Amino acid sequence: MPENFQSPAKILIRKEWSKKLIEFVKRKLQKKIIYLGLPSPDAKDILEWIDSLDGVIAFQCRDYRHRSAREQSRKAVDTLEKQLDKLIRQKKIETFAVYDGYIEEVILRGRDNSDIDFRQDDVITVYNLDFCNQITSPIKFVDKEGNIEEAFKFDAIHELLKYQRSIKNQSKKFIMFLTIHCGYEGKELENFINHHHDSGISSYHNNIKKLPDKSLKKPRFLKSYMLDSLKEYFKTQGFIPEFLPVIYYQGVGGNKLLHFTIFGTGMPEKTGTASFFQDIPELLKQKFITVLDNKFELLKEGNIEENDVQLNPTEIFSKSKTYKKYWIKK
Amino acid sequence: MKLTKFDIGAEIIAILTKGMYPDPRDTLREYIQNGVDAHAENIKVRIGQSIVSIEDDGRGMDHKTMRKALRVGVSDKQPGKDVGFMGIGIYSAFHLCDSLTIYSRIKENPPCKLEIDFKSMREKLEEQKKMRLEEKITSDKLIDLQTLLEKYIDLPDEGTLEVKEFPGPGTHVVLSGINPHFFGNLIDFDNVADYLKEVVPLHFDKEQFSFAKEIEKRISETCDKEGARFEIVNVELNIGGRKEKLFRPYRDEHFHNGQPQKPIFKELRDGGRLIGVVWGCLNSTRKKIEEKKLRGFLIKKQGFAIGKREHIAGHFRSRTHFDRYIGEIIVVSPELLPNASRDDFEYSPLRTNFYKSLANTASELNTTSNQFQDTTKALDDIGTFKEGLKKINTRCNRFERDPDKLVSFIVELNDSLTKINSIIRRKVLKDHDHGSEEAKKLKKSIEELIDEIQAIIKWLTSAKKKRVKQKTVDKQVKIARDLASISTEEVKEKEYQTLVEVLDDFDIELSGELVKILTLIDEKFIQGYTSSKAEYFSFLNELKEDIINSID
Repeated sequence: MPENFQSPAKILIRKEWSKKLIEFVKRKLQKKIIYLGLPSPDAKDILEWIDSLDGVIAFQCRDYRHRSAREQSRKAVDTLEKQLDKLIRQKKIETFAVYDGYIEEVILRGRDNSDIDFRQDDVITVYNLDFCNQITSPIKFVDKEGNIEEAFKFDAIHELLKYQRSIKNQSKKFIMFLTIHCGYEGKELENFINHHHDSGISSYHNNIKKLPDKSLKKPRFLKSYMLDSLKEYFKTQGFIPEFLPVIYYQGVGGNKLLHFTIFGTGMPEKTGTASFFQDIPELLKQKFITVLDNKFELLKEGNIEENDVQLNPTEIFSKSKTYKKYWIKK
Repeated sequence: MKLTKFDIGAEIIAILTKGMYPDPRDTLREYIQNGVDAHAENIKVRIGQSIVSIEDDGRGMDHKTMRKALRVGVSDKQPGKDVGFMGIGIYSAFHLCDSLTIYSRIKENPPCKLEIDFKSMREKLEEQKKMRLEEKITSDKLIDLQTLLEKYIDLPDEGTLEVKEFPGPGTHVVLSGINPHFFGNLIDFDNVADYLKEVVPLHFDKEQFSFAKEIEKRISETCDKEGARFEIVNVELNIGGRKEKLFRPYRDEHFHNGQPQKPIFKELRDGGRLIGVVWGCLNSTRKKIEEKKLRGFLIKKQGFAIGKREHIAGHFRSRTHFDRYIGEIIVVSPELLPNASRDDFEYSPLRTNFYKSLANTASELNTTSNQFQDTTKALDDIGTFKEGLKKINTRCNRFERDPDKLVSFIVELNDSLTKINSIIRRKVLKDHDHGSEEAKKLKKSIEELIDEIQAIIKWLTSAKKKRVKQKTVDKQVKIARDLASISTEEVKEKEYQTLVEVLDDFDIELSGELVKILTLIDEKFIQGYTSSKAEYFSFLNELKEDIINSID
């Protein structure tokens, strides 16, 4: 079982950040809320948010610490499935599916480790993605035709958005939570840091490189990479992303983690490329939110000049241009 | 003679369930059947990584009923009214999974729960078998059925399960620890869906099948009138996130040109008593239904399939006509009971009468199909003759001076006339709107043209050429005008592209080598013999008809 799911900080994020936002989404959309994510075998996240959820699509690896292998026990997968079936029986959710494997493995390959094809028939309204495992990029996998393919870990997000986009006649509004290990060293991150970008990101990188400590640099590089990539993924698939401030916290075992929150809003087909109402350099300059003494606080580190942000997630989103333009019923 | 519980060995449960439920999908059918018997309107089947669950919104079971459901070969269900009545279905998952858990609740009653540990049962029986092989145990030491069930079944006392654990009402069946040998079979969505579509009393697909509503309505009305029950249930299948509402498999697209003919309804009776209702839609052309597995009629008793389509093909005199239909024989008689393996009915005088009545109905259905064949063939012939006549009429003008050609026209026309006369004499088109009239008109035109050609021949050898020639031109115009007034229906036939395709349609198994030889014959002789593609396709269609006629 992933320990990071049970750290006090994670529990607070689940209760006081994500739960509030999911309830907000449910209230706003007045539709069935379908969750896609990695809930852990005991389905802690789901149980916390159960009052707002109607369906679950879950990914469960057999051994969280290691790459998937045939000889690993299926116990975690089976436990989660039993837990979700129990929720069905108790009439707390209406539908669910469990996939055996890490999300990126299953999504990129198109089927899970039990050979069940990945299929997304429901429009997802809550994504809860975790990329804290030890799989680094690029990932090699055998596709459905038997060809060996290579992909970057976060391409899975792009694939998920593609599925989301392909489902017609449904609400195209959703919320995505994304947790990433700060120590992540995939090839795509290295490529990103060494690549030339627009002046905003380049100058941010130049400032980061001047920081004295690696522990200060890493989360900021990763943050810049994720914001830039996600913005592109969302735009390509016709979604307007709205980023909320990033939470930087410590999981069990001292693991440093970044928690991203993104609201997705589908653009009508005719309007073409999705707009973007935020400014990446401005987002990069935002302070991290962190968890101290079981409450959210702004992280103040060294002499880094960063801007304050609000700590109430629903208030932050409610003030955004995306919300005012697309989420308020007129 | 007095028997004890030791006279019924525990192995009986393994033997019975293996024999009765050889396919893992049969188990799904059993639990769906229980939902139908409980008057469920909606049933959800979910197949996951190691769990299969079947959830229904039927009336549910109380503790007493659940206890009774555990009996082997004893059932409170009524054979006539309920689908499952053998008293064994609850054990149908014996070989499929490690454990079976059933939650059930009748409205306002406390929910109850039942658990059967199949894995331990199997292990116990295996252990015994091994000991027997090693001669470490004698037969009188084998575990008896009662002890085995008592040991591995857990039915907690009434009221011990909280309502929040199963608010119900209805029943929730969970098969946990699916045997990996069966897993591949069960995660294939199409494989499971196709099976359920055939065996479960699903709704007809109103979006995909034009006559769905009409058939459902008609059968319901007939059943209501006779006090019988026509079972219909909504089933949603969810396998690994792919989720679909299932319908009976019939769609317009299964008929040629996407057009089924209006359904035919027949009632099967034993004297005055209704045994069943038959519905069938004939293909729109004289072809077999393309989808092999849907050809013909399927017997359904309370919505669940009895045997397979091919099992009753023998009751139809002609396989050709059988294969042109898609239909069902819905048995509603409570007295006609399915056998244990559900591939036929139990022997009884009623079964005999049922098959007798079915044979009569089959004969009527064959006649309908045959009439349709004759009618469409006649209409095709009229169209062909009309075209032939037009050609001859055009070519047989004032400039034609070749008596041999004129004689060959007369031969061709006489041939057509014979066939038209046969159509008229046999009254093949009597039920067709204008067919008979058209045939008569065509006959008249042919006769007139024959007269005219004969007159030309005569003229070629006579002195009064001028007068006859003028008359010929007038006649030619008249015949052309008459022909234009004959309307022929365009019957869209399948266009066979090769000789092998024609033979394929007869389900003749062709080896790879034979296909190569036939392709060679096709290319060298048949295609060489015909002058255009259109003529080649038409030749293949004619060949198909000739084969049908020779078989019939």
